[in-house]
Amino acid sequence: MKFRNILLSAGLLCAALTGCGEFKSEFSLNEKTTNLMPEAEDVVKEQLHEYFGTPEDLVGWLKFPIDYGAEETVTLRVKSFEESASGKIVLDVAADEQADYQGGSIKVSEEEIYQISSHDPSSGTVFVKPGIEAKLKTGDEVTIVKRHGGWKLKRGRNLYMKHCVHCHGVSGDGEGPTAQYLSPLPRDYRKGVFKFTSTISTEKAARRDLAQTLYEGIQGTSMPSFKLKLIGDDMEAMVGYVRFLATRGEFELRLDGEFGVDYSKDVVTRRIKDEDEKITRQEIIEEFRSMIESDLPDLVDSTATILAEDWERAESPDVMVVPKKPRPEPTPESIARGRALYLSKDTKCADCHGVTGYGDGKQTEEYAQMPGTTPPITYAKPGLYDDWGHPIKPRNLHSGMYRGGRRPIDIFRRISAGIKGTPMPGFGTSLNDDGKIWDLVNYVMSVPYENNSSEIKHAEKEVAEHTVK
Amino acid sequence: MRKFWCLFFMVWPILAIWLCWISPSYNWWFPGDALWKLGEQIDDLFYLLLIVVTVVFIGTQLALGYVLWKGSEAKTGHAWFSHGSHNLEVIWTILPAIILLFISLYQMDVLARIRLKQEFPEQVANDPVAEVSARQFEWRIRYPAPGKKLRALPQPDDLYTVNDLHIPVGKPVMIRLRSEDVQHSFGLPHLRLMQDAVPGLVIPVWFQSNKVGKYEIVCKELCGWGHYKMQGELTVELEEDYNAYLQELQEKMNDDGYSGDPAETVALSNED
Ligand code: HEC
Ligand code: HEC
Ligand SMILES: [Cu+2]
Repeated sequence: MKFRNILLSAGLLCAALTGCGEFKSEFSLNEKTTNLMPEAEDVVKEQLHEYFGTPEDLVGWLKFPIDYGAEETVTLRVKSFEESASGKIVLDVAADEQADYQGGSIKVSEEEIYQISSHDPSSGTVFVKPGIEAKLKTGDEVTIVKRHGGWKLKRGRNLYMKHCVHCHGVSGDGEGPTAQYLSPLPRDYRKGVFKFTSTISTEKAARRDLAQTLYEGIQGTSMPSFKLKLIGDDMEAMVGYVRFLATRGEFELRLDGEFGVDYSKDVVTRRIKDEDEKITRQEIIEEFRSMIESDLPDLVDSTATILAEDWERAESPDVMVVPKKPRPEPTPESIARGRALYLSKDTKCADCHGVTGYGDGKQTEEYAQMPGTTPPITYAKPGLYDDWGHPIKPRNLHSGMYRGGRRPIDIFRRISAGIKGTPMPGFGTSLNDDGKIWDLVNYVMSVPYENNSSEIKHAEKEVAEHTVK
Repeated sequence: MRKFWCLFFMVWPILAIWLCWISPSYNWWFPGDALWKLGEQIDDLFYLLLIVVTVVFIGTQLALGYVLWKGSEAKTGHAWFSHGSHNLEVIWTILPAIILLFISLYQMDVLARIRLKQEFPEQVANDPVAEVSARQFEWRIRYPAPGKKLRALPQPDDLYTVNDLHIPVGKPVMIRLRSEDVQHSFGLPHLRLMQDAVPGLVIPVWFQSNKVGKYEIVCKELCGWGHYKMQGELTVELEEDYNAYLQELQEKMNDDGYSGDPAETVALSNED
């Protein structure tokens, strides 16, 4: 008995000292990839590994318009150097205003590069480990690598692992461990689709849109605001990493799309069974191999080019939704015009949001069609679905919550460009009149206050009763 | 070995006092001085309690050590069974009762000044600066438009932010505290203030800071898995900065994106 106790405590102690073993985070594969035949799956896996790396060893593919963080160096003179192998060097830091070398390294010559282990900014003393072997004299020039190439991507990764991974998942698939408790679900970035953007309905999200989401959070969902956590460089780094994950996911999906036509598991079985084609599995593999040999480099290159151009275009002022007219005062007339439009055949807002705006329009009771199914298959349950295949409810306009922001311009953009990846369409082109959109905005923004004047009792109790009378 | 146990029990009071003594220099103590009068009074109450428990703790520890020491020297003899001693029972019922009664009466004044609405400073009693709604896991804040009073029901011209409460320095302010889901607790450690936010209730909370600066708002009630990150920031600033802040917030809330030049419309919100 006693022996067992000792053994148990010894075991616990060991576990406490060593931690829970080595933990390695990994990018997971999309379902579409694992549905390919194993040979095709391997090719996708290899390409992803080559161009994006692993979470621990990221690759910044320069093709994409993502700021991975360029190397930053500064050349300084040695003030004093202790001969011993102590690794202590005093530098003249007067020339460098931001003398922060933590995590950097010191380059004595091309071959001799030493990691800086600690450093005191005020005196310019740096310590390297192991000690420095080179002979240095006072006045010698050394190069300090303040930030290694790709530092921004790595910073973004570190911040992502700290703040976001438990919801959005390591690969940005929206399947972190907390995701199962949340509604709506965290965004799966891998489609490259983001809901709340300032760009027209056909374009991707701009950096500023992702930054706004991170700054304000998404009200009414569990997506928090990071305005107190992501300050300065960190915000940019975070946005860059989200774009990195989105591009990675989209790149994978596009390759899956290319290969899936002929080489998904289902298609391969069908082809083998097909009497007319008379082909064996081995022959399909051969066919695939020769296709890869001739086409892969071009395929990868063109896929990346398309993606890069898409993301780049989103930043352009030409695709930004900017009202051509200022917002008119929300007069009763403007609101009434908005209401009429809301109910009209041109917009059909009421079909989704309901005649009274409670989000209970008739489409919420109809069976929606699954996208990309021929012949059309409908979802098992009635209601609307988003592009990720999750049920989605049109907003209850009385709630006064606007996920994409509550400034008039935010709501203008939602109505003009729609909410991407959801059934909420954009009306910028079909209405083609910013005045009409502003009327809709004025109407939408007035809905939460419709009942303010009536005598509806507020459900909450004011705690004036706390007072002893 | 017998003497060891005596010493063992004597060491604890010494260790405890030493630890309390060095704590302030390691920043293990309060998060800075209390920023207002009532905060200081709460600190005083804390110190009073600390002194009471220190005296009791040292006393019991010394008594324990003494008894053990005596016992370790005694070669023979029987233990004295105190069980059922009427006098002892009376003493250790009445003594703590007196202490507790004293504490509860002594703190009454401070408690009343924080909690009772008729004790609130007159200028804030009916005039909240903001409504703070706790929600898993954030603080949603609603201000009235500059120059207006905060109404119980949201108004079209109200201003909204998240995790970011601004108040003017050196004068009392009152907020309406509510919860949108579960029970939370609005904690301002630098002001020594905390108040539970209870679903279904709107609780008035008043406080004041006499020093400008940025201070933490924390949730002090375990409210779910994200409790630990339910943080906000209290910015205490000069009256004119405060007014400018509200003005700026109002401009942001009314932003219609129309300026002619698209480059300028890029999210006002991203500049702090
Ligand atoms: C508590 C869970 C949670 C955490 C933590 C979290 N998110 Fe989210 N995030 C969500 C949810 C839920 C949504 C989807 C909201 C919706 O669909 O309306 C979302 C959506 C997003 C979106 C999409 C916005 C759009 O326009 O479509 C981005 C980008 C995003 N999150 C980035 C981040 C980043 C970066 C972090 C870490 C700094 C983070 N999130 C942390 C839950 C979370
Ligand atoms: C096909 C259905 C559909 C139609 C038609 C539709 N909506 Fe929506 N709308 C939605 C859905 C679904 C959402 C919720 C999206 C989400 O949760 O991210 C939504 C969200 C919104 C929001 C909330 C935006 C935010 O930031 O939270 C507003 C405002 C809105 N719609 C207004 C309108 C107006 C005005 C019209 C007509 C001009 C309209 N909708 C037409 C489905 C629709
Ligand atoms: Cu909380």
